[in-house]
Amino acid sequence: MPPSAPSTRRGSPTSVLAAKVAAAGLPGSLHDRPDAPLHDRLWERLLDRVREQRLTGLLASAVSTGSWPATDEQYVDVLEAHVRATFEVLELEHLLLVVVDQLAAAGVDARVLKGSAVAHLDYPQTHERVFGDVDLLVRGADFDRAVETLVRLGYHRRFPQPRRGFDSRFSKGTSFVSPDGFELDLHRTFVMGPFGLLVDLDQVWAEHQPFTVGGQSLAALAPDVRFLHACFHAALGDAVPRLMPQRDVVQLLLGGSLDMNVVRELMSTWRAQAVVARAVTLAWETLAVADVVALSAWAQRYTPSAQERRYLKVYTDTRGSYAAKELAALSALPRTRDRVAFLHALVLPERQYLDGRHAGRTERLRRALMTVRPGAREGP
Amino acid sequence: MSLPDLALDVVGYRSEPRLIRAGDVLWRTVPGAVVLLSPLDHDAVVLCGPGAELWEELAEPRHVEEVALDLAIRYGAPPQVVTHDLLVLAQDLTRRGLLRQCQV
Repeated sequence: MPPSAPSTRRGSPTSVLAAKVAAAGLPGSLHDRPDAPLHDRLWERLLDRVREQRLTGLLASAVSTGSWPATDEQYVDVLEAHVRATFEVLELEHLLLVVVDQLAAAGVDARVLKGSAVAHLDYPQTHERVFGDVDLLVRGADFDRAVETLVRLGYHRRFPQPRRGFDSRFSKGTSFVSPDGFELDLHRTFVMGPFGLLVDLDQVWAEHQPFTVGGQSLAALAPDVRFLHACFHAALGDAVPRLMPQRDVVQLLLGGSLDMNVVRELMSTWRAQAVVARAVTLAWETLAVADVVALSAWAQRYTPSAQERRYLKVYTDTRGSYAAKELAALSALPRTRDRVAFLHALVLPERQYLDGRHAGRTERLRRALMTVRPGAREGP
Repeated sequence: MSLPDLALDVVGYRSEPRLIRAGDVLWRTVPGAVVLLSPLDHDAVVLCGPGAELWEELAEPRHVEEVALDLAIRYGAPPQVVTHDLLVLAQDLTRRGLLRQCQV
């Protein structure tokens, strides 16, 4: 679809405006801006959406430079919302520093994913990249030690692993809530399901890019890997794609720090072409980016294979379940014994894993199989 | 007469030593303000106007009076008033661990 006809025009007025906010400050975006300040009800709806999508920084910048018309009251509204969001970001960065320090003391190396890393390395105005949690990548071999460290710090693990050893071999990672109520996601790979298992983690860990927060040096993924991670997050992170991750994709791809030969090699090795194509196409369309670069032209033409379409569906189906993603991952595991261990953990999880989940093991397997079976009924 | 000497002349005293941002502070510049997280009590501190400019200036060690005089000249405000306000602010920021004294 050409960038002059962004699909967001088919959405609600609030969705259309939120996409325009997400594109604010991008010189290559064809999105226009309102001619005059929005009326109060529409403004309130937009501000709610902007808060929810963590776009307060982009809107605050646009209003303060006059590129987004606003009344004085609206100007105060967005600045107030952004100061609140920024304070939360700083609290999260404090948490990040403490956790990385404690992990290092336990001998666990960590890479900072998304939020803080992207804000400091890929956005010219750091404040514009707002985030609401902390994401850290650790090696599979260190995963259990990292979990123990967080639990010792008072973090509450939201979901147990299906069986002992599952996290360090197969899972995307797991989520924690800090004693102060902040969310921290500990990752082993980028996403759950088949595309996450296909990522070559040795390549992910091969290099890093340092950045500084509060005088402390932290490690982000290397730029090319960071771009691919942004694509995974934008394309697969949520069934309904969020706007900030799409902005990250554009920000990184147009930022001029990528080696496209490395990007192509990595996405080929990880069999992630469909992921990158979906992320770039979505981002280009949603943000109405006019710039055509080699990868955006390739993404527009890319046709996913039947298997890639099946894989994508488990991420993009709004009714998709956790178990559906994990079962779809089976075919991405190359070794039979890994498949057996993986399936065993999912079908016969330890009892604590079942608490509060599906009623029983039979029901659990039935639901998962119904979701991933080729040609499964598509609902009403 | 140098600016610090002029400040000394106008205000009558000069803070010693110079001040600089504490290196471990978490902060962001946002449109119209600087948002900081106090490292001691984790309170939010929001600096606007001259306070935000003081923060920007103290990326390098400086006497508060020097900064105050710069700002007073820039905005055509009474140097005594600006200096007094910024000294009070600097004292508060130092107490909160956001600024530190620079001995060099």
